[in-house]
Amino acid sequence: MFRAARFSTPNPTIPTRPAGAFRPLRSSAVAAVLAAIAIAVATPALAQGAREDLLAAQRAEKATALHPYEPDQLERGLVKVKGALFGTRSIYPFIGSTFAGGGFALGPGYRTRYADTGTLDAHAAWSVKNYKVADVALKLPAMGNGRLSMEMRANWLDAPDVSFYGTGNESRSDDRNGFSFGAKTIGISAHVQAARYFAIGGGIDSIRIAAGPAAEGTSIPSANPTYRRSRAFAAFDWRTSSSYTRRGGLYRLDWSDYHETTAGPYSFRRMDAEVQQFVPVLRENWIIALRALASSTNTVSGQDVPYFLMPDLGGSHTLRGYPSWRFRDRNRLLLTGEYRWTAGRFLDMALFLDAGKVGPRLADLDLHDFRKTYGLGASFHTPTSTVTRIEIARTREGTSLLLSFSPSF
Amino acid sequence: MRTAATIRLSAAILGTLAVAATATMLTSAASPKFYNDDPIWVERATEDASAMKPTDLDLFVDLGYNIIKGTDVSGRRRAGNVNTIDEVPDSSWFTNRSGHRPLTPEEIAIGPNTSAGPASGTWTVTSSKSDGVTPGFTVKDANGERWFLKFDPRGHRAMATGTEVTVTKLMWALGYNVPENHIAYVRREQLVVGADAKFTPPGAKARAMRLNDIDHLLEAADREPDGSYRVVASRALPGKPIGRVRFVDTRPDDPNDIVPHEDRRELRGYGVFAAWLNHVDAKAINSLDTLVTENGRSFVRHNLIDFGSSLGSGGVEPTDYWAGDEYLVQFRGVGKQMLALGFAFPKWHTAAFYEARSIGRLPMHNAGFNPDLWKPRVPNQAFLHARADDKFWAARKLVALTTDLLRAAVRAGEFGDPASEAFLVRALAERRDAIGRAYLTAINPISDPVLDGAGQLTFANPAVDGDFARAPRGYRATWSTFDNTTGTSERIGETSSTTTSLAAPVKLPRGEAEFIKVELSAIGGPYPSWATPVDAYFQLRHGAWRLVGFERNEER
Repeated sequence: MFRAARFSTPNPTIPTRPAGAFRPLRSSAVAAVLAAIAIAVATPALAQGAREDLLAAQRAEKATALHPYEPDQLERGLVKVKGALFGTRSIYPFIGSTFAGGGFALGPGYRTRYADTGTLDAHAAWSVKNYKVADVALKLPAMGNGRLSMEMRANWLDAPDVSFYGTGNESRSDDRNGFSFGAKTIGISAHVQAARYFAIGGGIDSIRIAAGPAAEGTSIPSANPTYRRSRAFAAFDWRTSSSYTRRGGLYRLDWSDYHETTAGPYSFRRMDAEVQQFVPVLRENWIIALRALASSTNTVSGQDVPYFLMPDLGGSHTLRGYPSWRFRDRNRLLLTGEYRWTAGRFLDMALFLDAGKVGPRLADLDLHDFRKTYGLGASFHTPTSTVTRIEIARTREGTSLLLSFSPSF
Repeated sequence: MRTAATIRLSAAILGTLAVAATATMLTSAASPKFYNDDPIWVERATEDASAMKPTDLDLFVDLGYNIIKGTDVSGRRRAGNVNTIDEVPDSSWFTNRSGHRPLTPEEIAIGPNTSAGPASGTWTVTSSKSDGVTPGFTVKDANGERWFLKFDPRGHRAMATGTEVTVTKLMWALGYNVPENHIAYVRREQLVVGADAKFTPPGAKARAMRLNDIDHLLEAADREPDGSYRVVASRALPGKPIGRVRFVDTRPDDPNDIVPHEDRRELRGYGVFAAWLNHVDAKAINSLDTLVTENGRSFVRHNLIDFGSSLGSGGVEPTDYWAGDEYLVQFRGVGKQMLALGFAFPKWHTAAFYEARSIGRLPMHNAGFNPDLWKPRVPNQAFLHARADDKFWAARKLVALTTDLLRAAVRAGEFGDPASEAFLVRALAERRDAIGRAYLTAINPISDPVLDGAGQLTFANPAVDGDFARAPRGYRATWSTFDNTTGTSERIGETSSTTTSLAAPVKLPRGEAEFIKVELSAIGGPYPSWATPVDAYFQLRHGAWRLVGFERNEER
């Protein structure tokens, strides 16, 4: 039954009326409405008349109060949220990190696009531990049908108190000292997507470093090397996204040559090899995520690897639960296993176990005397990126709560 | 100036008075339950809407709004646009087809089409859609007709295009306004860039389109062995696009839009059809309001578009395993799954699916389909407001689509995969029957009562007729006189029968224009709800009883 009598049938006698709210009323309208009153008063028998008349009257009533659509509070709020998240405004708030161990950082950012795929992104940030960074990256428009991309980058970093616990696997947490680390980097890199999953690339940078004790009375040496760093990599990456994936794998080799241009004692080469594998089970309800990462450095006679550029373990991505830079040495090995499960469309949980070690020689990276951590984590994500990761990790040195804005690996 | 202002003020006051007086006269003291023209079968726009301005709705806002609105609905009201016999009249929203008149497979195959598709020859690209994995173009064909082209994702020939055409035919049969969609084939060399064509690279600003933009977009499209591209060509809808169909409230600038959309039965029933078709993308963005002018009067026609994410197709890949089982964002079960270390998982993780490149992915077994558990990707307020009588209405439309008609719709999709097409027909038929079983039995199903001059009342029971339930032991009719002005009734008597034919009491009124009310219920029915009577109202006109009212009561 009609709740509020809402219809009308075709009736040629019903006059077409314009959408009144958008037009000023004229004197002729007065006559029209007077006529309407007259009709209404003179025809009580309409009550036995037509449903269509009743409905036409309701429409006519609405026609007197038309107005443009006005979004409600919720819709207005969503428009603002969208603008903040995906807006095309060039100025944006940078939220993230300056340098490992620097803590949460904030600052202004600027980004713009040009020529379809070219971007310019610049930001400065200041962290809760007084670390400061300024970074500019210019990505050239893709070439070679999108297969070749090149990027120029300049970066300035000031980290006044970076942790140093000594080198080796047996370093003690009580032995923490701090050193200041400043770096100015300028360089160019290229990435060639040779095949759907296979990419190679490389780059060259100029890096000027100033490192020294954070406080007087420590034995940390000062060093101010200037490097020409050459880098090359090859990667087979069939993950669905580098920031969030539930299947696929990454197999990567990365080689770097740190050549001190001022003929100092700190020239070295570094090789990183990494395997990541994501095994979905039961339509991705469970994911077995595995990772092995090995890093090694070597030098020629009379040269050494400076303590501030040694491979390290600790922080939110390697050997979680230990603080950033907890272990350093010329070589490192990290093994990680995670059992992830889907708790919601945008929430994953994980039980993880990390095991890692560092050593002065490559031969030291055997499967004994690992430092181990284990824990539980929750990861909020979109289909392609990790938004926030919260983990609680247990080590033999204590329990830590970790917050990150990127995947563990 | 002052005189003009005075006139306008006076007119406004008088206008308000006039409308109020008219409305009062029409609905007050003498307000009858039935009017002489009840039941009406056409709802026509009587006000001119030419002053309406286009509005747009952003996808993020559409999704976010419905997610935040959530699924809590209280106080579901009776649908606001049904006529007095509980049916939806034809309107700019809906045209009665299935269940209202016989349809043939040939009609289904044609559906909304009025042409043979885009004219061959050069197609001029006027704009493109660069978002998403699957590209899309707007083109003008050799005759200057505008078409939207959408492609299949690579490796899934026919999945998106065939699904779009099949579902278009079915939605047309069910009564909705849908675009004319054709399967067509286009060669790269047929496409030229129009002089004013714009292209918007992802995240960048629009610029003049270049020829290599087309090549770049086509890289994501599936290609035929002969090098051509299979497309679904969707003819531009007549009229001027002015916005989307929001599933709540009325549009404040449309004078003819007076029933809140969540209370429109065809939009509530759309939820039943969306469940049937696994059309998980049934959101405002996938609709289009157009301003059309006919006989000098402009009004809004409400269209449903974009069915590429239906059945087994997710548009750019096979539909997700969870599609139809879960909302995109839902909190229910999250805590349990968190604490259970992932062992409290939903059943779709282990259910069997039929998977094929041509049709995507659908549950293998559909006979046990439960439409009440089906969910679109985001909550839809109209779907959530549906009551048992709305679902009954929709189910009747649906079961009227015979398997032959379903087969015709699937054939129109030209999937080129006989085994998958056969599966699709079977799945559609099983899901249709599951919906019939669920919704034709959930409420007293007595329908279509007819009272003849001899006082014999006959009616239908679609639940029994469709083999969805066993017949009740009998039927009972309570007969009353009915005063159309006061709404009061006076009992005449009660009759009963073991069949769907009942005799009226002998004391039936015989005066011209007199009304009677018959409360009809089942005795010993398989469902308790069948004991709740439906109310049928008849008026004696020129010696014959005419059904003027029918109410299906949810509960008493």
